[in-house]
Amino acid sequence: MVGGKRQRGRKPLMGSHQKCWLWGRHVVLETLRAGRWKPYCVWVSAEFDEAMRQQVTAAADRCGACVEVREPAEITRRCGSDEHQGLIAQMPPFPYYAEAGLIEPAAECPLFLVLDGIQDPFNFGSLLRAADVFGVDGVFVGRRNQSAVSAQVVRSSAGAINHVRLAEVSDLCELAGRLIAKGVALVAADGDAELEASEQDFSRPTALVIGNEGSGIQRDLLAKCSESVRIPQYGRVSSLNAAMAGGILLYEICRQRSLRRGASDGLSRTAEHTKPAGD
Amino acid sequence: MSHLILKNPHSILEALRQRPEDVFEVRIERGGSAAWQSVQEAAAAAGVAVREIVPRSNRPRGRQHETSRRQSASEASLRPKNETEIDRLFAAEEPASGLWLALDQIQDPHNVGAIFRTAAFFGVRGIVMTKDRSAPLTETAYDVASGGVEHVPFTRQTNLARAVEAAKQAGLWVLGASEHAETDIGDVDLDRRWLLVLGNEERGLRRLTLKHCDMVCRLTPKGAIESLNVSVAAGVLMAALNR
Repeated sequence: MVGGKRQRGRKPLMGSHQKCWLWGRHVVLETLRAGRWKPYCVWVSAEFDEAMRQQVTAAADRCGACVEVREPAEITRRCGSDEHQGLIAQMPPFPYYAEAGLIEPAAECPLFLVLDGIQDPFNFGSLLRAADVFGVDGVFVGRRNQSAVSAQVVRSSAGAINHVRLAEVSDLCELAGRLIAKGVALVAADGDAELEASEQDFSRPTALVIGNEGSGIQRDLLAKCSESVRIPQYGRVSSLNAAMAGGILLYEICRQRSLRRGASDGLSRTAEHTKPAGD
Repeated sequence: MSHLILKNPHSILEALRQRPEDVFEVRIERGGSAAWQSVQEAAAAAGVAVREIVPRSNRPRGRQHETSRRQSASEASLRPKNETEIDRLFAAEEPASGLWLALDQIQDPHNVGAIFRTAAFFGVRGIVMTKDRSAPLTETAYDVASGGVEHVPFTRQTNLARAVEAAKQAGLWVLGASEHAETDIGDVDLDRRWLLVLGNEERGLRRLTLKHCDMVCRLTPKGAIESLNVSVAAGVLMAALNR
């Protein structure tokens, strides 16, 4: 009966057997509601009131996840954290988007985020959250040195993982080539760059590249980037955290694009106003 | 806390540079990274005790798991940094410009640390923190700040409203960050000395705090302040005020 045990445990899991549980009321409910990444099973605290339990059951039913009522202590033991707020979910591996699906039907002036070896789950989650807020069309991660989508990442992303389009590619340099072929400019975030972010023109299709917390962007990928930008510094600590740099640069890109949109709206409005006068 | 154990070589290095007298001891694994080697050199130069410890891989079987797998076992023990008195915090040499922060009940030490790191990067003059329902400056906050705590003076206050009043007395303008504001951060007058007030991870700015603000601003797109992690929102606001 060598195979028996393996067969029963064969459903693929996020992380490992111990690490496949998402915890926290907001994060689990958000994942159930989004319905894309479907939990196998949800545990709710025996201390929940009837209304809350029904809310969870309804959401879980739509995902085809079973619901079990458990004691809070048991839930704590299972997920390994006491911050579960009475709700945990057992997850399969994260369903990444296919790369082609993100590049092809992209918006008129797409904005992509390429993460090269983000290892800290807090940083990864926080970057996904920023990508969601600033309307990034697709986030790409490689396989080397990259934090996987873990419970901590999902928590740091505050549920944004369910809304951001995230693809995993085998080779970021090859991806860079395909993006360039589609007319997307690769812009590297690099503390040693000469150009300040505000001097860069982000109105073109852009992929912002953020490197590893310690070693930065790998050399081959950096070589594919047409520009490098930095965030001007005024203090004495010389580097920003990767998630912070990413958030600030994404904001700068959105700011420039909304200014430009505002300006062109203004122009077209003036054009409309002057036209009848001309007639 | 009279005694911190830090594990990030960058936060230890800055402490050694800024206040070596507060560092009790540095314990370093042989053959560590370049960052740890700089720590060793800085400690030796400052006359701080350096003790070499046995790398984990050389420890007897069964004792290899005493520290987490990824991190090296190197560390330093030191005194926490002293607070700055509030009047001194707001005193500035250049009267025309400068940025200060007030953190209203921010609860996660990761966020506090990340805000200190970014504040140091942007040359923030001082940070006011609340005492109640707020993350203290834990070891995690020091390590996440990666040396930032050593460069930004701070104070912890029971009554934030009174601290904000003290800032106004010192000639600062008070800028709140909130989703419900009309003014975009891009339209804020940069030629003023601002105290930027940041609210809690869940509730945002408290009503009473909001009442003390001279101006309230938001980010574009609408909703960004609430949806971003508070430390990233803080970073974006600091960057915008430094333009």
